Amino acid sequence: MSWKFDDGTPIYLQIAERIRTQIASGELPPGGKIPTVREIAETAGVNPNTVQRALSELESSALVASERGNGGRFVNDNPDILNKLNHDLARGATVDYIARMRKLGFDKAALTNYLTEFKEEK
Amino acid sequence: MAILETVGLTKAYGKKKIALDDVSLNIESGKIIGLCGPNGSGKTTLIKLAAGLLTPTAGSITIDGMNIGPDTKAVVSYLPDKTFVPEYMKVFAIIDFFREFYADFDMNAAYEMLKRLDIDGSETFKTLSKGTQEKVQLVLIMSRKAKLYLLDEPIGGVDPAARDYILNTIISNYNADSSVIISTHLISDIENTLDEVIFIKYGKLFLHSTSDEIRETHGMSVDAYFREVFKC
Amino acid sequence: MLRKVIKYDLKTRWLPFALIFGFGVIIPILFYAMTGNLDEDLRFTLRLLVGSLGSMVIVVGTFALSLLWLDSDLNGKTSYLISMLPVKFNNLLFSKTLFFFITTLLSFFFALLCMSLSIMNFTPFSEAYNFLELIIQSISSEAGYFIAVALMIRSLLGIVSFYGFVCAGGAFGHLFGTKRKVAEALFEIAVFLIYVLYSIIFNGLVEFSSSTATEIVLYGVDTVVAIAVTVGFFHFTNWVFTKKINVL
Repeated sequence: MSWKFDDGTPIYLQIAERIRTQIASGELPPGGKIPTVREIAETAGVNPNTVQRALSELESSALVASERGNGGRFVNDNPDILNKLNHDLARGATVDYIARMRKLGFDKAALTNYLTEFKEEK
Repeated sequence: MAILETVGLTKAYGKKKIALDDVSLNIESGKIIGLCGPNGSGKTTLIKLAAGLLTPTAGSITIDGMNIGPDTKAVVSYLPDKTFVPEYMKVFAIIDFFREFYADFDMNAAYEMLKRLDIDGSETFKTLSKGTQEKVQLVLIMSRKAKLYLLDEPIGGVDPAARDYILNTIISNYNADSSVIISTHLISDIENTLDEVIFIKYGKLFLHSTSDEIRETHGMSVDAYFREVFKC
Repeated sequence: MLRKVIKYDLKTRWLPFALIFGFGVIIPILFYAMTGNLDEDLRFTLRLLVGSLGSMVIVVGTFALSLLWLDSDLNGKTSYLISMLPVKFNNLLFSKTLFFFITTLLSFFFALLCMSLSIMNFTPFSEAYNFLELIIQSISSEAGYFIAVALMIRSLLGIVSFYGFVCAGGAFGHLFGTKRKVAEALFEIAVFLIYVLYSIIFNGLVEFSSSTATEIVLYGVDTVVAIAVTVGFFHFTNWVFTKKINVL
């Protein structure tokens, strides 16, 4: 029932990351409402203060904003911000991928070849 | 204001056994705190001192600025790791009892929890299984709207599903005006729900930090760090 | 809060006492009915026997129940629950003492009733009454009604005093953690011996008192001593369970 977390990093950062991914994938659409701190805490099996910290993180990077007076939070529908998010996440994934492939012995040239072959296969 | 404050708190039994040694702590409202240490480290002693079942040998302890007494007991909800419900009582009767003596007891919440845990209130406590007895006791303690909850090993003898329910109840009960102290050595199960952790080693305060800080500083989970600190 | 404590003590503890008193009434009646066909002498002897035994069981049983209850709350199974309550210990102590007092008096009444019902003859009551009258008369003849009443009160105080003594024993034991039973026993033996000594001295003084006035003074002093000791016992008990509490 609860979310799984890595041991090495603070949980609030991992929650923030997860929400970022949900936004990028469209699970939490632009302009849409984000569940409350309590709801996330209960679903994730996590301390509400931790969730609060995660959401504050997201607010400071302007991905998430809170409605004045309402208390509810929603996803920023600014296309620039969302593009940047996608870009950041994609970059992160790519860097990871390249590092992993490098470990398997693929240098830059070999990797480019491999990707071309792979594309033709598809 | 601190919900629980201890200054040089010491509890000794005679000259030989020092259960708690010069512990100074400050706990704010709105926190869920893990009190961790091996068996016999002094966790239960600290909790019992806060609950008013023991008196200090030296040092002081206050709850919400008050000295320990009937007034603090009215705002502290304590779950012992022992059976405290008289075994001849029916579950409904002990709920009634709690309602009578604790102004902050929420009867409806108690009935709701019993229903969710599938417990028959008309049963006599003695006839319930150990696990069910522990659940009933937990329901009693969590149905109070207290300022400080002291849970001594709440998840030890309970099945995993109930364990989840208990942690979920703690999370959903959370509010900024109260704090929960969970004493346990099963850290991995509750780690995600903790704001802060306190490590007690041989009766002394070893550490009082946030779980985030432990992860950031040591690059491992609180559970892993605990194992390292208390390695045999 | 005191009212709540009393109400709850009543609610949770009335049954065993009621059972003892109830049996004390039913069994003699049943036994009376069942022994109708026996030989007259045998019949009377048996009924008297059952009456006596029953009376003893009622008094002893009530005593034992009260003391078990006290021990459970102070140092036993219900000590956790009692110490968790947001109630001044004084109130808990008062409620229990009140119950002990009432149930003890009731046990005397039901003991007499048991005897009476066993032999279907209410002489035990009139004999008890006569006995009391005798006491009152023998004193009234000398020193008037006042002492008689004082002596009555002194006896009732004795009941409360005894309970205070047991509470103090429990409290003393509580101070010694796991060795509490031994400590409690030693305390009670010691106090009992002191009491015996005191009684001997007091009775000796009364024997050799030259006038009724001296007697009155002696009894007065005795009453004051009894009150002081009783208060002392309860105060000590309250102190232990408030300032030195150590629920294991």
